[in-house]
Amino acid sequence: MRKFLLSTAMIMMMGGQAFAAPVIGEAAPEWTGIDSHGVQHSLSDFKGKTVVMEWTNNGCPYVRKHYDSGNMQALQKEATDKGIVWITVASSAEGKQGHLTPEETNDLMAKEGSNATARILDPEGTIGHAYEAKTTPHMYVINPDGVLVYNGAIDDDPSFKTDGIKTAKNYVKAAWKAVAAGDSIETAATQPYGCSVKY
Amino acid sequence: MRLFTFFLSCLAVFILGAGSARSTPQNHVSVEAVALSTPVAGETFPLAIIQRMEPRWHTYWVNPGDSGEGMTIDWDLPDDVHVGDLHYPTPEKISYDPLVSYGYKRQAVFLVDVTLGNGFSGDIVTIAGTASWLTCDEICIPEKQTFSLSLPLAEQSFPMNEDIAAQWEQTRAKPVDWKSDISFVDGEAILNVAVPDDMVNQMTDVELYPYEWGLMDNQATALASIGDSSVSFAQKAGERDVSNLESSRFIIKTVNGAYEVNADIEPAMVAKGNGTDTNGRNIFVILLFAFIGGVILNLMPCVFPVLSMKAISLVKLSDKERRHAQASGIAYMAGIVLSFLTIAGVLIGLKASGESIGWGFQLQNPYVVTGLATLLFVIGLNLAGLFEIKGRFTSFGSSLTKGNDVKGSFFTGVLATLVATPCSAPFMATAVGYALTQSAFVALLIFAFVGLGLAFPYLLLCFVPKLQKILPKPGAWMETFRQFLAFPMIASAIWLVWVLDQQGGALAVAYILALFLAIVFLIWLFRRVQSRGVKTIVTSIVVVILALNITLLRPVSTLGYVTYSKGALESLLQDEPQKSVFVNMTAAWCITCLVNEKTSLSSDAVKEAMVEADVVYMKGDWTNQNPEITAFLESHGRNGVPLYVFYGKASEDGIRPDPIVLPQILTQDIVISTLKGK
Repeated sequence: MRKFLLSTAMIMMMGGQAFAAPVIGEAAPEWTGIDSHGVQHSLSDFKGKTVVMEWTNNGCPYVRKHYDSGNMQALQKEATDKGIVWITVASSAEGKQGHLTPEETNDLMAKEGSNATARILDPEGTIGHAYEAKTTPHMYVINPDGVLVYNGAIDDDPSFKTDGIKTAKNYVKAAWKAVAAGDSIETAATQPYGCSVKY
Repeated sequence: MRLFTFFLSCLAVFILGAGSARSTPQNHVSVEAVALSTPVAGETFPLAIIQRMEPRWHTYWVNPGDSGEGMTIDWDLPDDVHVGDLHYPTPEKISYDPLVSYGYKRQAVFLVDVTLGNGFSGDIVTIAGTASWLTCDEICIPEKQTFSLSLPLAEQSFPMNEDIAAQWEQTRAKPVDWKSDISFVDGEAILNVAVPDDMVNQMTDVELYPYEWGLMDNQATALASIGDSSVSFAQKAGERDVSNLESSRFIIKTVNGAYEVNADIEPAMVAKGNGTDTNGRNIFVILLFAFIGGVILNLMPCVFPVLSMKAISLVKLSDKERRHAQASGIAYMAGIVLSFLTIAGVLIGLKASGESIGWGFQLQNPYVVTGLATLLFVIGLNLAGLFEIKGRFTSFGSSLTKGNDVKGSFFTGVLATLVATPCSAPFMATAVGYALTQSAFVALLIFAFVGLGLAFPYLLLCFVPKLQKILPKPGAWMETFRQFLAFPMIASAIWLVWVLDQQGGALAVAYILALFLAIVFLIWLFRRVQSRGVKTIVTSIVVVILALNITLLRPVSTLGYVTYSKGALESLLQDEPQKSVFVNMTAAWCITCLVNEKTSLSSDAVKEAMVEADVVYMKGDWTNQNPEITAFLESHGRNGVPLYVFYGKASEDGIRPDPIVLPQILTQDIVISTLKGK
């Protein structure tokens, strides 16, 4: 009898509580991580600023499409010029594609001409799991109040082919523009495309 | 002549096609285009695109799931030749924890329709194109390959590449017009599908593949619950806002095949993700309905007799014994509520561990069905007065003043729940399906209220003495009434025997009827025979016989077969010399046939041997008159079934060995050695 009550109680607890998934319109999950220069950052450090988060893996053809064409760097520059914080996150586990040491990361950023505010190394996948990041690239936009306002693809051309980059509609840019203008965001969630994050 | 033309075109295809489809050597996936029938001027023919993956590498469905990208083709076609949409085969779930993609491993066959317009002229049509796709193992690589296929036009359409056509037929999702809708309730996506009655049994173990992204959590599994006119599948909802989406196609993949439905997205229910759970009033209404449902359960043919007998026992009470009545009522309620919570707990636990089950899952097991049917049957015999149970488990009509009555009432409650389950399965499926989409706490609460409802009428009788006065005065009618109650009980048992027939077939039904006979026989034996030794020996023999044959209840997993017809057999023998054919002539009333199928033909070893030896399994059903089968039997000097005939592969000169007629009683060894040609 006692056993029965105990297991019933356990089932109740299992069902009642799930991990907080990122939800549009609610506070974005807090995170703390170390960047490629060894500096610690937290999401709460950037309160009052719009934050863009970008998941990356330099070996993934979809990431290559946006970096080799210069598209990602241009977007980063446009954002940071407006005072937006741009955080690139690499969640590849050790031994998996896209896992780099801090030195390799700095070399890569210099070579690619990255304009990101910081690049967080997340080999344990802690931040990736908290945000349920699925693909590289996978983009999130967080408004100055810390509320998640966009979750999904970088643009509306889910392809590894480069032909569409120039004509694609960029969802991330549309999101930060709406935040700046105080408008609601037209497309707040899209299907992220790319390679799976190598957890 | 026909065959000769066909042969010529095949030869031409072979010569023209050879070497034209070149794959890039470093690719992990290669593609090949093949025609599934000969092209005819002015007509449409099916063209298959085959992807062949290296081990561990996979490609993607049109909705790739959490990551990935499907295949695209840039066509290069002659004037006035057109291709339709690229049709994808049914995908599988490919898991790289915690991400799940929808895609293909090893080999996937895609299909397009190619139409030769009237503006196309020439004797040979060349279909060319460049296919691009993403393939991933741990890492992802975009690949592309050009292909080209030249086909001579034929006068008439003949099937080609039948193995590829067969793979397409096997892996495609068959479009069906089952009315479907999807709604979103508290973080669950619930897909309701009006599945035809004869298909419902296949729907318990399915995977769902939505064509639209973000409707369902790709990692979650679907939980099916069978309702009166539809099956609902609940799966954790995805992250998408569905307010501007009207419908989505879904593939429902069952163990036996895949079906494609188009589900309307319910506009009334789209209010999801507003953060609030079921509010207080809602849950109150739900619990009220659960309670009412429980009360109604008392009227079910399997429960009503139990309640009635409990009620009759109250009639005999004197005023002094009222206190006992109240204790008995509470014990009865406790028995019911705890049994319901136990079943619910098991259900929720199994669901949490990822099993795809719904209410009534107990009845998917033929042993449980047999147990319940036997229980109902025995209670029926007891009510009819064939025997009395002198134990504490059933206090039907026995006096309440007995010291152990509280215990007895508790177990009567357990019994009431047990006998209620078969009747409640069709009745409660929808309600319980809903309960299971709630949090575990709410689900348990709903089950508890169903139990309270079931216990309520008796509880009321125990606590409100005035109501007991409404009951008729004790008298001879009580015995008559009690005997009458045996009939609904046995009727319920008959229904379960019918369920068992669907699961285990004729042999399972024969087994349970023999079991019933054995029970009645043993009751008679115990009443008529005095000698304890005789009783023990006879009982042991009966139990051993029944125990040895219990596997007859096991569901038959049948081997896929081709239905016999004279034409089908002749064309197989003539057109597919590389395949051997096993013909099984059977009938539902032929016990030898059924035993052979159960013990040897449907065994795993024979199935494997059939696949290995590339055998076409052909079955003729002689249950009803069929002159073609009668003629076949006669041609082998027989006038009855079973008849098993094996046609071996043709040797290199195209001649088949003489057919082998197998004995009427088969063993696995006989079948396997015949298939292997020893």
